[in-house]
Amino acid sequence: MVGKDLCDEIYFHQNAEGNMMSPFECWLALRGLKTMALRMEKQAENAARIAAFLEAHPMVKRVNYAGLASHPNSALHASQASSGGSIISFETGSVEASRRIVEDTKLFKITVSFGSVTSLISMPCYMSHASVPAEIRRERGLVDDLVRISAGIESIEDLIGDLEQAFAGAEKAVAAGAQ
Amino acid sequence: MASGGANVTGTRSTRSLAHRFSLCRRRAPTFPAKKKKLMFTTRGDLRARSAQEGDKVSRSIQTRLVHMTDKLDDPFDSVAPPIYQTATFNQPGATDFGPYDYSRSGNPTRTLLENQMADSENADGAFAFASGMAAIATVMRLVKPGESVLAGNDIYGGTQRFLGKIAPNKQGLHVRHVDMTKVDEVRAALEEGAAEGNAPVKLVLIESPTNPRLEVCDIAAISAVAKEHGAVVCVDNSIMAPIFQRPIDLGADISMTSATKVRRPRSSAHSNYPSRLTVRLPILPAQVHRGPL
Repeated sequence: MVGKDLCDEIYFHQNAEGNMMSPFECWLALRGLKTMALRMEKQAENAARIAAFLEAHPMVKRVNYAGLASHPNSALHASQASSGGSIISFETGSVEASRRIVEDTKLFKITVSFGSVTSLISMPCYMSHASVPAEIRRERGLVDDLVRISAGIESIEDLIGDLEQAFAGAEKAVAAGAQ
Repeated sequence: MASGGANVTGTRSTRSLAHRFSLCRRRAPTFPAKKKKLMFTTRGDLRARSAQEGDKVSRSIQTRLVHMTDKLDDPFDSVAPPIYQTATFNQPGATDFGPYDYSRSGNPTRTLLENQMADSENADGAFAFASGMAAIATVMRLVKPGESVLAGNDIYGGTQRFLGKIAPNKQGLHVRHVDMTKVDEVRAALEEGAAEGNAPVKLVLIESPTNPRLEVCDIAAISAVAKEHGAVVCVDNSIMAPIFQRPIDLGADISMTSATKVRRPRSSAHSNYPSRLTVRLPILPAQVHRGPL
């Protein structure tokens, strides 16, 4: 099923089941669309800097960001998209270290979702992906210490500074815990 | 009913509409006198107009988002579009339909957004849903009991919950996960589904980059192999959005973008659900969606 038939089928179900967006929500989205490119470009610029910071940090075991040269499919991504985007995830190898980093940041809101003008930080296994059964998460390599960042539009110096202090605090806490 | 009665242009239509806008003094309002002249230009009109005005459609997405695709036939010519906060629309007559009748079936503010999104994605139609999961649930309606859905193994938790608990147990669908970064695995699953006695794959769900591990899938290659087997390809494009990636240009049939990303702030009304998605499909004149079904 393609083209017009596909559209007719989707419209039929949307109308029959009544799950459409309300007029006010549509209006908000229309307003948001005008600045969408501007916001996403700034978010992506910040995300690229944060990814580089994470990649260089000794506490970080692995960084996932489609815009990094070290990403296994960076060439494929560059061929089908024009930016690395605003979402990064990383592993520390320690749930406690990850938790401290997430909770010690001041500018990053701890929340699900992404794409906000506010920078966001989360631990997917406990938040957005908690509905995926633990054994399936393990099977698929979705590790509990994974941290996801959605870069906002704040000053990048402030964001990196905030991450630096959160990492420093987490490093100390984990070292103290190990003794 | 879909087309017959609506061609009649009764005087009641003109009179009542003119009366409603009698406060407009700056200039005479224009109203849709015939069914053909809807409140929105169609994409066919747009193409014709772009040929006249220079190739407007070729402008960059940044420009097109600021200068909206469609224009309401608004007597006050407001810069921000009006919100048609109404459930019902008075009809020209008992057997004549105007462009809109009930906001569930169509609403002018929603049409503006849908056409704008279709334009951003180079698609010919778009649908705005109440939430991302509402969009996913509707796309899952494309698959019938006994048929199969193919998805990646690093996907959004809400999508996983639907595929794990609702699709197989309540809708009778087969759900299969593969490593979507490997086109060979996708091809093998499609071929297996096509074999005698197996559940044929009718829908392929892609995220690229994936959430949350940011794996990248080859949208063009997967779309090509899925088409060979007659499966619809749906890309959850929430991470890139049409600003950075346009799946329909790459060969996909449906692209979804989260409106929490479009709109700006996080949504307080849906704090547990990250997305409101619009679904876009190619090759469709927008007005088809407004006919009573």
